[in-house]
Amino acid sequence: MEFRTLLKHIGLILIAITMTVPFLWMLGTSIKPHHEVEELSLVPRHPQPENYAIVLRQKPDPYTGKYLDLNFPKWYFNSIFIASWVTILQVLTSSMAAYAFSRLHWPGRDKVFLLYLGTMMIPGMVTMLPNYQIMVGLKFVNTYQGLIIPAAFSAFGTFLLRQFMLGIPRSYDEAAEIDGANHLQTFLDVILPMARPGLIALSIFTFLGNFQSFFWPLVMVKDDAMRTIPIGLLSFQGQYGQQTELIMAATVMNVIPLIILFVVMQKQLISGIQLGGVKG
Amino acid sequence: MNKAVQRRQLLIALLFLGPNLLGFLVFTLGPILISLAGSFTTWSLRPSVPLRFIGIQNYIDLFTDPNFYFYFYNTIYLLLAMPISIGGSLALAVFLSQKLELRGPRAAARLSLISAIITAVVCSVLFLAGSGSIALVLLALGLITCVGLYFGSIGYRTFYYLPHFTAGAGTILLWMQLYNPNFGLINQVLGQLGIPGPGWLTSTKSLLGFLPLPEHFNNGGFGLGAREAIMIMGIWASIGGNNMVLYLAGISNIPPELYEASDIDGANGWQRFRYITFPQLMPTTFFIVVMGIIGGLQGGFETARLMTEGGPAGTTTTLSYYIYTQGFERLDLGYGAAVAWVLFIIIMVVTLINWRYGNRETAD
Amino acid sequence: MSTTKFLATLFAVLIALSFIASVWKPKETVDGKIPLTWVSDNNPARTAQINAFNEENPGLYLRLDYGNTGVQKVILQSASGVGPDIFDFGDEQMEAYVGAGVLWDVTEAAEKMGFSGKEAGWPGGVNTYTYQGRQYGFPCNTGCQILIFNKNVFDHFGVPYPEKGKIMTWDEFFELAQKVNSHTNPTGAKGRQIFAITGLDWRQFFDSQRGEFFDENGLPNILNNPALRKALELHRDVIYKYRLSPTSVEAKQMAGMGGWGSGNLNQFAAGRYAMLVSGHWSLIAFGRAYDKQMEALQQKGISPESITNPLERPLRLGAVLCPHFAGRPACYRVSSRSAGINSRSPHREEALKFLQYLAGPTYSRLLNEEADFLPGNPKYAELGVQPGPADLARPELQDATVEAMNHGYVPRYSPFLFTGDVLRVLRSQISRLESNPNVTTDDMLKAANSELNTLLRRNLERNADLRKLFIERFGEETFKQL
Repeated sequence: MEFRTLLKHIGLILIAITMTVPFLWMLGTSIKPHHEVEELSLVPRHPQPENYAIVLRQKPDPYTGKYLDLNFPKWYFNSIFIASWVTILQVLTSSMAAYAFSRLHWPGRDKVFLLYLGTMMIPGMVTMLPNYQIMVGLKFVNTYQGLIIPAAFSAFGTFLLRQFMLGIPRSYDEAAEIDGANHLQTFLDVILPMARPGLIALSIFTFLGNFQSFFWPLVMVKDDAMRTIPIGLLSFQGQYGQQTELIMAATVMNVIPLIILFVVMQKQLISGIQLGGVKG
Repeated sequence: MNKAVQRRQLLIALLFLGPNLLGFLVFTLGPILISLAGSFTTWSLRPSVPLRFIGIQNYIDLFTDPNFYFYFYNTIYLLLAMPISIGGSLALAVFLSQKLELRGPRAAARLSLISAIITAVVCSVLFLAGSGSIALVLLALGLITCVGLYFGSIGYRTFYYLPHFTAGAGTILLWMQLYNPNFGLINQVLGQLGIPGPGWLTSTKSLLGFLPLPEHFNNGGFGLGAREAIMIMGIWASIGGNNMVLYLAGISNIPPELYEASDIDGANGWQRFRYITFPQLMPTTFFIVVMGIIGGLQGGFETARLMTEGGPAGTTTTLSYYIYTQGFERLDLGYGAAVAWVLFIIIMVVTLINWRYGNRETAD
Repeated sequence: MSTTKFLATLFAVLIALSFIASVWKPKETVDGKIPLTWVSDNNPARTAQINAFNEENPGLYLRLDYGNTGVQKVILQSASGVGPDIFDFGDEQMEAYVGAGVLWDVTEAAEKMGFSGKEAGWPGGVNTYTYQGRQYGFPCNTGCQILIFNKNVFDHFGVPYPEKGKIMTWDEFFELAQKVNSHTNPTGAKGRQIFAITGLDWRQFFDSQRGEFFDENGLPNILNNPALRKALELHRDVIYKYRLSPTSVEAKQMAGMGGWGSGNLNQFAAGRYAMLVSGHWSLIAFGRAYDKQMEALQQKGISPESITNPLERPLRLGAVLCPHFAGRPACYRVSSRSAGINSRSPHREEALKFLQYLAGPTYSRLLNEEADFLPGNPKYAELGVQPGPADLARPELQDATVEAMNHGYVPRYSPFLFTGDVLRVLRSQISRLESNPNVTTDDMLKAANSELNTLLRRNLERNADLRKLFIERFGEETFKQL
């Protein structure tokens, strides 16, 4: 038994290595001098950790002798702020809708659900222009509302949580109903805690997806103070070449809190299992 | 059921649906209907083209355009990577949800410490001997081992999810260098083994290249080409990503009583998977397959834009990249919308089939 | 904690964050000044260029909006009436912008304010920012490609440098290139391959014959276009027969991402190529590489003169004009990056001042000091040029570009089809050739032609005015045959 567990570890470690390569490469590139960036090596010949100081504006860019014109603290704040709002709103609206689609019986339920599903099948490219014009009409361009509200409603999240709620045995609602709970109470106190793994998964997807989203903020944002990190990273791209090493340094700093968030959420997921075990 | 009860249920459902429905109508359904209407007109970003109803002209042009079939074929072909990627995610999730502890956390800590010490010694010796590169690679290996042994599942999950964090430009740049036919790591390793490396992103070959495809499909014959390169990259990036997280969440939702019962019956590992885990994961699998098809049929845009520009010879142009070039490079939004709606109908039909089959098992 | 309490806490935190967000807004506009936004890249030289403009125009406040990833954003924003005031466009994008109606016609204003193409532009390059006789902007920078060579690689192979002041024929060039090519026989230092040239493809051969994609009436000319056919055949030879340069996909992979050629330039600076076809703006990258190489030598205490292996020496450049075809005059295509005005900008009249500034001496001097491309106004072509390190031969590169501009041209546009469409279709066919040597030129041209005819027919069917014009010129029959 012990031997088999060790074998499993070896297999898992081997896969982990292939998955970690790009991150290591990114770490390596983030401390490379500019002329080594094109080389495939993981390790720089002449490490240049100053790249981080340059991005954080503690040192001037060696090529221009000037400090970079970046507003990282604000961009960071914007990214976290927007992604947090979107995540909570989306999880909330999606779970409510999912409840209606999975626990309630009403005429036309499955047809309306299929309509929801159908909207995901239209490529976003063709709805971009009408969507943008709605934003202009609502005066949402270059505002936080314009970045948060359209992302707060998602057919994807509704579908995901519906599937999770379908897996919760009916006996739980029935028990709550016998105790005299109304639908709101059942939803908040029975279904949401039971759907916790699904809620955690959706939170991770939404937060990460929004934190990294590029196209919509790109067209919505005009002021420097409204930029998010992915848009801010564009400042390293010039007509005559991009400073890959600085992009990588900024990306590493960008990714680390996301990794921490992921670990915390996964811990929650595992503690969720144990809770479920106690209950069962 | 009587009318009053029905009305009451509808009201409650509406209260729960309300917030989502409102956003859905304004930000999703509205634009979608506009695009549907637009596909029957000369909808264009050029002011010199007046907006005019042209019936199904866009659709006629579309179906008489041989490129459309070619790009459709490419899209479907790239979708063939999906079963491998989903199967891999499921396998990883099943392994990661099993007990990985080595006789309690104490043993794990001890083993982890031992491997840390070995790593430290070996790496410093190598580093002093002047091979810093190998030392650092081994250091990474050692760190992964330590983290894996000590933290178990959570450690591995995080590693497997890493490609997802670094998604985008960085990963694409790395893979382009790996795929270089002359200098890339993959072909250099193959060359060492005496295998002539394929042309990867420069090649129009494909694994289905032996089929008698029309000349227009730029069939480069049987072999590994740009499409396979993109599929391998896609599998690598997604196997430990969202699907694995979903499966892990799904597995954690399975009532432990079921496993306890099967243990009493003396079921082996495969039987537990076949008769408990897999059926219990049906709602999750249904979701993943439906989303995979939806995403896959709309996919290939980012890779085409950043890696290949749809080439070589259009072999990596998918329908979504085609919509982009038609709508925003040729400014012909109506035509782009028509492509999108044909795509929609295809996805919808596939999903409905899926729905009939997959949803029945989960509904009760 | 109950679900309700948990949700309440989350919302409280988010509302507190919203408060911070509403307070944390740095003031950007200067009171009493008219704000102008310029969408361009975040080139380090922009700060100085913008500051100088704001000093010259006290009533205006120009600021940079980088991060424009091209056509989609500008068109989407401008078509919705919220776009920038000024934005950059390349030659290939101009038709799309004009077609989408987002570029403002500045012809009359340019004449009045002294920045019209006729008066203040390079004669060969006017059509990079002028479409169907109307002017839509003024270049931020402009120029032609030249042939830059790495003297170290030539010394390594013992081949004399290209002769200064003489324009080679393509045959002479191929002969020379084969002498400095070691693709199949890696004789370079540490066994590395050295390609003869990078940046050379069918386009240089096409331009060098003064190639056109459309005939005088605007009909696409693909099937019976000798210049195109010859260009494609030479392209094939360069890759398959002479193996002088990597295919464009290989080159792209070597270059990494970005598409600005910086990777190519690094490879060239590192001695992987003997020659490079490029604009002289590549000097910005070479200057950096050179400084690094010198620095590395200094740290080791080696003087550059004492190095015997030429490939180990710091970069040494030379430049001549690109070759021409025997019996034909030399000819080069002009390309520009121009600034245009959003036709729906509320401050478009004020934005004209900026285009005027681009044609003036202050901007041109700043541009030349930075070793960018040439200024849009030939009067100031040499203003403020810094000699720089002798090894990089900066003035030689600048002079070659100015000389090439005297042979400059821009291929003609067609009212019926975008040049961008033609190029996209051709590039797709060429990548077919690059992955499969058995594709014949005839195949490629036929496939390209039929695809373009489809696009042409679709354009005409959707635009009645265009159709009328087409039928007037070519008759009902030609239209039906498409």
